[in-house]
Amino acid sequence: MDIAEKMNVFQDAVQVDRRVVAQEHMMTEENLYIPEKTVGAPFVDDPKMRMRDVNVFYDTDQAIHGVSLDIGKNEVVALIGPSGCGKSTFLRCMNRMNDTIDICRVEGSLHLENQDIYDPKLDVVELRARVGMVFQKPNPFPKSIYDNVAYGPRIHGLANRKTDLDEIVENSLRKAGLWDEVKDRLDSPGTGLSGGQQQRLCIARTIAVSPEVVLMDEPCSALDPIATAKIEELIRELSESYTIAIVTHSMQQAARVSQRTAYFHLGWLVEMNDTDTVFTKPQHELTESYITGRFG
Amino acid sequence: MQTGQLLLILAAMIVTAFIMGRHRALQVAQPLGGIRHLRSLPFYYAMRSAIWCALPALIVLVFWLVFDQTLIRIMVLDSLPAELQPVDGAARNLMLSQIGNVASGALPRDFVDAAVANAAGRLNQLQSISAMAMAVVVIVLAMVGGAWAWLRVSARMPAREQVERVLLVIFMLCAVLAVVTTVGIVFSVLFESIRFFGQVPITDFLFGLNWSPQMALRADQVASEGAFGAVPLFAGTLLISAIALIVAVPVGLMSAIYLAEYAHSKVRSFAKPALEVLAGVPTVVYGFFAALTVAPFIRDVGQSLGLSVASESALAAGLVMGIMLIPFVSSLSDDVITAVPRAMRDASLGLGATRSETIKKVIFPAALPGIMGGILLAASRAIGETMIVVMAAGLAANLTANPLQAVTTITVQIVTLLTGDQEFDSAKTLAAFALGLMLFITTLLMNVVALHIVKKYREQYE
Repeated sequence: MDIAEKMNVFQDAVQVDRRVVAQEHMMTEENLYIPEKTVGAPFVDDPKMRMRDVNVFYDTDQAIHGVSLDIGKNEVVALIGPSGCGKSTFLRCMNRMNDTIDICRVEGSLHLENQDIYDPKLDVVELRARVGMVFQKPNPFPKSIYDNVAYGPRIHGLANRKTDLDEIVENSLRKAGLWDEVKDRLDSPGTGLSGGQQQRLCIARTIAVSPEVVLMDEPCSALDPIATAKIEELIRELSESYTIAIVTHSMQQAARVSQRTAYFHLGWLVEMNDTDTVFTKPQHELTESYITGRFG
Repeated sequence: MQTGQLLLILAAMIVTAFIMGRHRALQVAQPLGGIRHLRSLPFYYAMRSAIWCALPALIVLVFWLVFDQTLIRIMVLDSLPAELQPVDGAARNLMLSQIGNVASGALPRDFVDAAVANAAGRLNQLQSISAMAMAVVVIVLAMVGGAWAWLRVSARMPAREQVERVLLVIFMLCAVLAVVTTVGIVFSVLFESIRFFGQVPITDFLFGLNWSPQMALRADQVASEGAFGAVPLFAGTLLISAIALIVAVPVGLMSAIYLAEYAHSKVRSFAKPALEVLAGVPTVVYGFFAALTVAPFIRDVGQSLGLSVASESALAAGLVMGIMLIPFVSSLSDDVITAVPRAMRDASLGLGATRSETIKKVIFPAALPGIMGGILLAASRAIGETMIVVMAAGLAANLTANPLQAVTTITVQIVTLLTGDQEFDSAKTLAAFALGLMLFITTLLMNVVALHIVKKYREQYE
């Protein structure tokens, strides 16, 4: 039996398994079921990040079931889906933040360009410098605004001189649209800013290490509408220079900021396509139900 | 009736008042259609009854117990004929103890004056009357109080507010008690110290380099004058505490960091209680461990290296004390490190910081107040620790910075000054209070300094 045959047998087994699981999760009154294969177009040419057959387990519970998708260069990909569908878990796989959870186990192949993210020889520090992350709740360090932004450049040794560091801090804060608001009080604590400013500070902190990909885990869920609008504006600007994956609960937000959208359901990737297509002509009933607000 | 029996009866009455109050509240509630029509839950009516039953009776009981002996004594002494009336305080005490002895039967009646024997009889009589009267008054008060509360139960009565007000007062009294005790101790130490400084100049005490508190007890006794220079004691205390902290702080902190950040949860669940057991070992056990194992070991090692080491050395005491203090530092630090929010760690790790960078730059500053608290606690323990030093560091008040020599500490000297038969107004015993005052001031200063450090370097997370 050669490798190709083995793979076929394996994939058959996986598909049978999927069907069983799908039936378990079948929503009887809606008669909705999870498709065996992701519908739509999850793959692109020459992707920035390539994920194939990703399974994630917490102890024995499987949180992600064979998810495969691509994230293209300089595009904003939105991950949407009901609570507990595994979109945050999947996001955290992409810079190995799940490593910090003892019971979490990741299978499958995840690549950043040609680099295998889960290569045992890979330096996680370098990976996380290339794939930055913004969290759900603004979490500035209890340090000054300046030190918050300078934290990453300092630990990665990006600046040899104070003036270099000053420049990085200023540029990052400018890109995050925060410079004009804080330039006179760089020494005051970052925790003293408003929620929206704190989140933009966290974005500035993330881009200060010049990542290639920025992962955002519901970055606006703790913010008011005006602060949210500013962050969304910022995401659109940042997409010119960064590749962005954003988890969001707000479908309007996904529609506003992303080029492509992935719909997760109970750990499966149900549908992925251009954002317009997903929101105007969803191909799967589950997606349609979610975006029309029948559940979620 | 004995006071113990009375208290038992009172307790039974309080329980009864509670049960009856509750029952009554339920009874009142029933015709109204359930307890939701009462202003408070039945529990509060029950508590209110219990409080009414207990409080007045207990207050009277306490006052009675405090004052009845004094009153009885005055009455007994007044009953003595004029020629037997004591002239001064000492004679009064003597007379009272004589009467007391006769009354209790320790001294035969025909051994003393007839008037004294009569007084003894009167003492016994008064005491039994007092006990009976107390029992009657207390029980009646409890009954009246309980009954009053029981009768007053009504749907509109704000029982909860009243109970809460009483509880508030009780809480406040407890807090006041702690503060008053502290203030009382401070002042008593302060006044005795002032008496000491009346006999020995404060400058001699603070800056004198010679400590030898032996004084003549009687005028004709041959003894040294007594020197009260406390500097060797301060130096010895500092030396031993410093050695102890040099051991305890790094070991404790690093073990805390290991336990909180790196250890697997299984290791942690086993290692943390195991470490805390160290804190439960009585210091006298550490003391003989230091005196019988560590000190001879250090002496032997020193000798083999050609150093002269006293068999009781500051090093031995300091090392063992350091071991004793490890759990104070590690356990408290571990708690505060674990309490730093996960979001802080995630933020740092997400930026590509290593675990050690995260600990150094984010977790440590955020946990600083707690860590300082742990170190401070360890330092106060080190300064106040007595047993280990008595056993392992000796009593010789050497002024030295050499940890291989015997030194002594403030606490050890307090112990030696106050053990055995002592005159409580000689400079020798009063010196103990002055030393105590110094200890108190030192710990206070340390607290102030630590607070300042924490304020300056703390990074407060939300």
